[in-house]
Amino acid sequence: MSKKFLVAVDGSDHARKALDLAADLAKASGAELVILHVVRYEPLPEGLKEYARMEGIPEEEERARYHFGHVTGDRITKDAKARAHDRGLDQVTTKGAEGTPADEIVAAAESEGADMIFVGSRGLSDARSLFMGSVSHKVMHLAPCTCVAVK
Amino acid sequence: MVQKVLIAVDGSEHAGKAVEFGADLAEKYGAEVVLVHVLLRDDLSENLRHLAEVEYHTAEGGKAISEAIAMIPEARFPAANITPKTAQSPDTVLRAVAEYVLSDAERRAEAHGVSRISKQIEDGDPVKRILEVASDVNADLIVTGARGLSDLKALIVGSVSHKLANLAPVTCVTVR
Repeated sequence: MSKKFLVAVDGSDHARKALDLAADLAKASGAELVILHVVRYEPLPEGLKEYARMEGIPEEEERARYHFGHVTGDRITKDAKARAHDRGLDQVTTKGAEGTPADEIVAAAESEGADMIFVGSRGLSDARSLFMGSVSHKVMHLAPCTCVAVK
Repeated sequence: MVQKVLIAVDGSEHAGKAVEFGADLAEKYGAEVVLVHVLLRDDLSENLRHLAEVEYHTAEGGKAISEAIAMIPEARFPAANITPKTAQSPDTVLRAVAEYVLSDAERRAEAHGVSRISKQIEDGDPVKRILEVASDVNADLIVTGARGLSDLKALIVGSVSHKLANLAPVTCVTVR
């Protein structure tokens, strides 16, 4: 049975460490690696859009932010792919998504049928991560498969 | 690189998977495995208790000693009288469970090709003890089952594996 690992990247150092471990392990166990970047984005609800119009905030601003997210996201996944190649892994694919990171990571793991999820963990203390909501914490709760929080 | 893999075991199905995953990984990196069991003061399941009794205190007919003693006439088996009365005390049973769980985990790890394995029994708060051992032995990786024996409780208060993943200074693997 061919194995599939999913690693979430966001350009941070922790994500890079997660990528390295995932790539090494994928290579050692002959698994395929899927690199995922989630653009943190939620379209403004209609009510807020109306408000923005009333306040004279140009819609372009939101569109620009959206565009920026996707452009940097592409760059991040491309860099990650190159990095995995450099570590000697050939079977690498990239994937993009937008929305809430943790939810999208879990959804991607489900749709890809991943055997393992790798996420970088900022290593915030328990109390702080409870308030701030860490991505790795949430992924670990919701993951359908084995989850690796890399520090 | 990964040199030491700590695997927390409690005899649950998920922990069994954690052993297999952790051993696999250790074998790939040529790493050492440290198996840790924290005494199940609150969560000892009937199943495990029974296993431990059968494994370590087997008496006549393969029954657990507590049952067996009740069945046999004293005159026939005077030895039954000198069986330690403490055989049923929680501590003895918990220790027996620990021995059983750890040696079972050791067997599994060996089957996955790991040669350097050490075992440790701890007592106290599982999360704290596991973190202590992790820093004592300088573990690079902590592997736990996603849900141990305390299924229902875990839903409410957050399980050992979740707390570990949050508090540990090293990479944590939650196996499902």
